[in-house]
Amino acid sequence: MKRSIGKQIVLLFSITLILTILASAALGFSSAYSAELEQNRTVGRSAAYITSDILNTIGLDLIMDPQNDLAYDMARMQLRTVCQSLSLTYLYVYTVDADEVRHYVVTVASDDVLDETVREGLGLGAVSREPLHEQERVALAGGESDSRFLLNNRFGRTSVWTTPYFSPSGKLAALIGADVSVEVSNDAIMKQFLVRVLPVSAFLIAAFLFLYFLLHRRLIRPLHTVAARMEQFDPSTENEPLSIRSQDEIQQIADAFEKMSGDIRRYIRNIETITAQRQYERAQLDVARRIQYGMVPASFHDCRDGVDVSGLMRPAKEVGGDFYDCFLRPDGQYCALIADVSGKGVAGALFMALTKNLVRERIMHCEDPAEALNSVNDDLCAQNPEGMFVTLFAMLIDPQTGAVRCANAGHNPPVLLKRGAAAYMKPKPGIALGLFPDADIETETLTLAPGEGVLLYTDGVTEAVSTEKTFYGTERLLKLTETLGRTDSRAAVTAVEESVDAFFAGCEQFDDITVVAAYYTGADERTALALTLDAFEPVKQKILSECEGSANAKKIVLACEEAFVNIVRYANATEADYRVMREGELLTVELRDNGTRFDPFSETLKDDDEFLSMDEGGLGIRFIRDLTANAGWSYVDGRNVLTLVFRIR
Amino acid sequence: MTIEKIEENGVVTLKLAGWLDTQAAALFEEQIEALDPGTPSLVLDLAALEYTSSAGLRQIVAAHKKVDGRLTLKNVQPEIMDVLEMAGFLKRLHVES
Repeated sequence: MKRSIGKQIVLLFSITLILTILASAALGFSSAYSAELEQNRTVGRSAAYITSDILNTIGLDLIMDPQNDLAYDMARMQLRTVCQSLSLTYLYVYTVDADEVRHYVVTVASDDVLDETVREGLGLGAVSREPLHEQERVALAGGESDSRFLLNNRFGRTSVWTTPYFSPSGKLAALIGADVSVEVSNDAIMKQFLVRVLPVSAFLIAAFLFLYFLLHRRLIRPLHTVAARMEQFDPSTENEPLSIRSQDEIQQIADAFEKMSGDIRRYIRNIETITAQRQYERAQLDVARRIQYGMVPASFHDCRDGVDVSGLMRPAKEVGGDFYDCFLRPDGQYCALIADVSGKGVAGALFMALTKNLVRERIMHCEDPAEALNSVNDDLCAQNPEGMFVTLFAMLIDPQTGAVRCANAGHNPPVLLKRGAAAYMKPKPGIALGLFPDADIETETLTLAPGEGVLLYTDGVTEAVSTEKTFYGTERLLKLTETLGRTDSRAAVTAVEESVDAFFAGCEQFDDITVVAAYYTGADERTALALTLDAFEPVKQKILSECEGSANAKKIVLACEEAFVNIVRYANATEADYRVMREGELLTVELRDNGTRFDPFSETLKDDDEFLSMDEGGLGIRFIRDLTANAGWSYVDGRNVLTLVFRIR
Repeated sequence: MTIEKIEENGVVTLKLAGWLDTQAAALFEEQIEALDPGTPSLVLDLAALEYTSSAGLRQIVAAHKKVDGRLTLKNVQPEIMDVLEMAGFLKRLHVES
């Protein structure tokens, strides 16, 4: 607190008090002064009056007669009585000649010592050439001055009243001077002054102290109490109610503060409750989201006999409703499907989970995709109180022939990926699942040549919005797919993802982005191998590209090289081939040769102790066993078939 | 695959770089055969070796025999170290860390 109200009031009061006292002192002094002046004048006049009377009685001429000591002494004696009785310092009679020189007639003093001095020094015949005072001139002119003048000479400090003396004949005969001691006069003034000022000041000071006491008790102290309580306010602890014990504004402030702190405590408790609830809900939502995204992997790759399939989903911020699914049916048909569930959030996620499982189960068990979707539709319609729906495109590829059967439930038309060309398929639109019990979705067919494929996507791709508020659009997607050429499925989905990313760079992703590319690679992907050591190079490159970025890549190459070198060196084969297949995180390498029937895994392993004979061989088979997750040998149609399965990670 | 040979104060260092596969092992074999069996110390610097097959490992054993055990491997990269361990070589060879 920089300036307390108490101190400010004390300061203000003190200034007022001092000013008041000063003013009252000034007034008191001036009134005491004028009272004293009046008193002084009365004394002066009385002295002049009585002196005139004495001079008349004795006769000025007789007094001034140097031969008549009797008259002089009598006059002195009488004047001295007057002087003493009126408390004058001096009383004197003098004449002024034409040269303005004073000629003293008689001078007396109240004090005995002074009287002796003036009797000698200012007796008859003494002169003074001091310049005349204004008051003396007035008296000489016969007037009576209303004022006095101050003298400060060897006879002391006195104030002088000068009065003219008129002889009985009415002629101005002399001047009478009556001196009052300045000290005496000042004492009188001081006495008057004190009498007037002291009680007032004492009263003012007492009043001030009383007021301050009242103020302190009724205003400042309660204010401090309230302020201290406000400073110590802690919403987490309850306080005793404030006791101010007054009915004034301070009480009002204290009551208002009590109410406010109660409100704050209540609000904080509310906020804490709400926050805890929110956290709980968010945690629940996070779990839901994790479960949902667990159902749909962010990226998926499956490369096997005849098909090469990749899927990708990039969820938007909110829980979205896209999903895709790729799986092999027991009858060897490969299914790839994509779907977009209406609605987001938890409702969308639940509906998605329901639909995804339902669809997979039906496709597994129905011969025909349309039959599966119609069946799913019936179930969704029957258990869909919220009226949600899902658009879906499902296709079954025959890995042997490339024959495709597909069914569309109101989903965006997929892109047909042909060598050097691309075009949108024109499937029957169908209708989204979950809306009407009789969807009547139909199966359509087409046949893919080896190297051709289908690109499935959701509207998160075509309706991606750029900073310029334009849509990514179907045309752009088509142009992109035309440039894909004969490529593998992973490159295709990555190209779409990168293109969409570049398109909406800087904008928020509004919708899930989901893409699936499914290629028919041809019935047999086996590649012939020459039986020379340098023929291993393309196998190595294929493995490295399939396992790109994996720490295990070189170990997989190592095991395969050992197997291949064994074939070249010891099998006596004339023909060999290989194929590499990827399924999720597993890589399968199959080597075939028409050489001597030989099971490499039948050999017993050399012991570590035979280190020094290891330069003769035996390490290769050890590596193959150690590095594979699963390895097998079979002899089919006159060929050794070595199957090595590796974990990519 | 490249092999650089450095002789210094009787120590022969072979710096192996690249992929030591079955084909490249032949090149390595030539170097081993050309070695003087009386070489006081043979060092294989594998800092730049990215890969080795069993053929490469066999030549390491051959080199070990040739100089009668005075063989040291140095700068072995983690991936190569895994292969050496799998082959059981770490117990027998002197590997400088």
